[in-house]
Amino acid sequence: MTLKSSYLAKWKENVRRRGWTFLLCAVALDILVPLICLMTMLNRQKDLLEFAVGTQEYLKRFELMKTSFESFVGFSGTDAILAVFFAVVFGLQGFSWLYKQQKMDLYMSVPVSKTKRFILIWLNGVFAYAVCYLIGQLLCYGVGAFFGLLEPYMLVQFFLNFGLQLLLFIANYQLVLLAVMLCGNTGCALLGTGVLFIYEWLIRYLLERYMNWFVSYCGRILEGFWVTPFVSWLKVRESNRMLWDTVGKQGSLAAILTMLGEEALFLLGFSLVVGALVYWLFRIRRTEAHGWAIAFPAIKPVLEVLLLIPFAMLVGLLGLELSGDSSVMLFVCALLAVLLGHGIIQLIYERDLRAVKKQKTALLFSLAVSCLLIALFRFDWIGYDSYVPKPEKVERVSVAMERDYTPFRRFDMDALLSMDLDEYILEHMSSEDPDTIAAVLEMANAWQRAGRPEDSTVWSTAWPLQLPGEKDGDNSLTAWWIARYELSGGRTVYRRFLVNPTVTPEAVLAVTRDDTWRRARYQIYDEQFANCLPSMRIRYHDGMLYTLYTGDKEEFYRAYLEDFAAYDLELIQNNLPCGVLDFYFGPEEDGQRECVLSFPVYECFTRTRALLSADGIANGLEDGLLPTEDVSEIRVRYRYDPEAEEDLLAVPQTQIANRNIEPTWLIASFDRPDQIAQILQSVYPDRLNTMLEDGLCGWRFERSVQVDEVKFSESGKEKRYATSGVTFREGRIPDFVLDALRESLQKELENSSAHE
Amino acid sequence: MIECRDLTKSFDGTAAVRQVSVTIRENNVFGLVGTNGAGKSTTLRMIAGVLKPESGLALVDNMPVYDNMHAKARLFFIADDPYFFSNATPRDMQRYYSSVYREFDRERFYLYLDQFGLDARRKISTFSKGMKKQLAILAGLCAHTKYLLCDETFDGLDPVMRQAVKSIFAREMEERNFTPVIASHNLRELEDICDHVGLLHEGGVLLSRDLEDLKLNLQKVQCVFGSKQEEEKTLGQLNLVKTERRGSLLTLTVRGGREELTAVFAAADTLFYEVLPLSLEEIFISETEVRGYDIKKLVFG
Repeated sequence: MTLKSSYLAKWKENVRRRGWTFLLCAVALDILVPLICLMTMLNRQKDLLEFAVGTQEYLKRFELMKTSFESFVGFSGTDAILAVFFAVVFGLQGFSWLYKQQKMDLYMSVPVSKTKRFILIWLNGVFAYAVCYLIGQLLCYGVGAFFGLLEPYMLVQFFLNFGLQLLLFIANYQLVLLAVMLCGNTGCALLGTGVLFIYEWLIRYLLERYMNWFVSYCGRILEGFWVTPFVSWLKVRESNRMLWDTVGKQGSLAAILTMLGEEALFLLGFSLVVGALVYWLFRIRRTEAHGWAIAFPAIKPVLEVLLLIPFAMLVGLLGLELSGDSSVMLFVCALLAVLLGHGIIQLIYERDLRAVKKQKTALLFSLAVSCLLIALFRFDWIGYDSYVPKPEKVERVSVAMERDYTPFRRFDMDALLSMDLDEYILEHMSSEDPDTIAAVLEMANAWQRAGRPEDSTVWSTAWPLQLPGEKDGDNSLTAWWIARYELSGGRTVYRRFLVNPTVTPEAVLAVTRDDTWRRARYQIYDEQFANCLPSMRIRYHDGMLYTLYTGDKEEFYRAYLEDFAAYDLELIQNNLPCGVLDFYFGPEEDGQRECVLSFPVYECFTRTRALLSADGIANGLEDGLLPTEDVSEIRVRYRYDPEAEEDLLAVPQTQIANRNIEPTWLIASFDRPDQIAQILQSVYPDRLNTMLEDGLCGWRFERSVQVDEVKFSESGKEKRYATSGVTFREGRIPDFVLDALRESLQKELENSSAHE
Repeated sequence: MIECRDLTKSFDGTAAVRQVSVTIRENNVFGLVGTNGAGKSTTLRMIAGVLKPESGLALVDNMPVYDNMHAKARLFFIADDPYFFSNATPRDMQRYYSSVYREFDRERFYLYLDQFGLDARRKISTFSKGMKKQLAILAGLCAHTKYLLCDETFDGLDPVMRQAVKSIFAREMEERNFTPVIASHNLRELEDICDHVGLLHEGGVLLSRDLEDLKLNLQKVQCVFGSKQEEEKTLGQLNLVKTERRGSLLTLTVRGGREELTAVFAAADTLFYEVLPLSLEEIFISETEVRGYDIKKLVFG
């Protein structure tokens, strides 16, 4: 009883001392948040009542209202920001007594153990936040109940969200306490908190910028695992929320465990490790450290060095950017930053201007290391760019086009989340095939031999071979690739290089034929894809007509897999797809969530085409894009600009000399069946263009002469052709089209003469 | 018993306390005197377990006091500028002290508050400096700890209050095992209350003695001898600490008991003599001068 009342009295004393912070927390979480929630719901309800109950619009608005309500009770960004804010407030205020001699005299002389005091203060901060947040959430749920917005899954959401939010608060609270224990006054603790919150980001950002600026780097520093809890939380928040929205609400245990696994365990581990460090620092902290800048004088120079180096590198980079890539400015700015930073830090440490002369060792060390690091990047002393591993050292290799964007792999079939394809391939390929390893090394070496060009323009001029596929607006033939070398000894190295398939055709061909590459890149090979087949819908389209495949899907899938084995660099460089297969899967009740993967059909895909034909689906481009009788008229247009460097119409200069001609659209229409037939043989549907792979094949299209409109005849209208556009293939524009455009220009010229 | 063994503490490389060794016996009033910056507060804070000694030991009843709540339970420390919670009243402080000191005597606390005219419900922030010190002393007394460490606590008290506090101290010492330790730079303030004094200077202990011993063994004698020969003969029998001459009047500081000295002077041929008691101030002046220090500079600046 005595113990209990004694604890209560100490607890009350602590609450009294921290009363204003607890009150602030209660006002924010228990009054403001529920009030905003209530006002938002009232607004939504006003909106909702404009529609009759049960109508589609009413239901849609009701769903919107529910979504809006969920932003107050589940995985909200505002909640996280408030958690971090109160972690800072409680952390700084809870242990601020360490910074006052008067308070230290009292607290250190009374018979209360340090450990008990620490636990009491620590727990009180967590308790205050937890209670305030819990009450606030319950009030929000009360608002939800009042408006009839609650669903059974929200109970799980409540506990999940509350647990994660509390862990986020604790992890940040520990980080703040680390700064509090290291510092000796509130100002420095606040600065320290700021530094701890941004330090990792600053280091990663600097490395990323330096790597991007000075070497050819594949940008992986800002990705992956982050130690700073708020940043790591930010990184997983969106995916967790999507995961919850897509499958968590349906009660998927896997999704819930994923959320707990990825986020909660990290936050818990972080809290435990940093908490132990904080407690140790609290124990060894000297009483007389109150008022000092840093409570542990021995770490002052270490901290200075750790702050000065990134500061110098940051300012150096700024100097480099402002001066337009001047090495002198890079080093001069870094030098000035070290001197300035040293002065500021010493001023903060000692609060005495004369102190700038102190700790010269730290100053000189920081200066030397900063300059060394900058030079390492600037002059690539580490040989980052020139590094190509020796073939015998590479055990496995993964390779992907940077920002590879294809319709071949897009989704995590479990969670239906979209994914970065290059990331996926690099993680899952891991080929041990010596031919593939040699091919990747050859691609990397070809770039080295070409002098490491930075873009395709430089590459094409630096290389004797003129590329056939380079033209603005068309798909590009060169692309940045990222290789992931798994070396003997367990080391993994990432490198980025530009690849031109016309320079290293054999190497690229070997990669496109590699089984691991294909399995990583084409989702159609996944077992899960095959499992989804029964519920899938398969649609074929040739760019103009969309038809659902109604035959045996299993048989069709096997046939397509056999045909697809031929899909390699050779095929895609020499052939255009004649159609596309869309595989639809995922929840069907909501069209927005339906997922689709698309794969091309080529003329040589005989088994697939035979099954399509057997299902009554016309396929192949042998007879042109459309039957001529389905089209009544085709209109084309051409933007004529007398000052343009290239003129497709080749109008003689004498014809336009001394005439004031403005750039103008020339239009020509064709309704004769023979002309229509010829045009249909020369164009290619834009929808099929999406199947042409950037960076692998350089198909060229003539964008200057545009097919403005395709008018369908009565028979064509009955077939309900798609209205997506078509584009002329380069060099295939019929002469009569160009003649017609010239005539149109002639008329324009005559008209302009008449006006003059 | 409180025992300091070779206590050493420095701040920013400057030694505040150097190898201080003092023993504070129980049921004594111990005065810790010294100039500003002599190390009184630092020594007291180390005894209270607030500061950790760099070397040496501060023992309370044979227990190291730093980070030891059992040792700390036996003492109450009143800092030179005592801290009270913001917006707290004496009643709030009583609640807190009751939670940390198991034997805190609430009834007596309110009785004392009443006697000293302090309102238990008034915010302490509205109290005068002297009232805050009174409150701190009362809380310290009611905590019922064996040792009460007071750092310059009597400085802000008026003479009446000081006297009242002294009588409470005396009563407490009679009633229970109570040992106040009072640090002050004012010797006059400690004179009529201390049993034992320790003098600190520049971080070290110059002297640590029982006041009664000092007073009994050191006397001031004013005298005029009948002749030069008689003067030489008598002074030769005395253990002189200090001699001052103003015309024919000699003022002597002499070691020895009062009766013994009276007998010596009664037997001598003197025109006038008087054996006077020494003030604490005078005792210190004499004792420290013997050790080669100019106490006027040390204590009175």
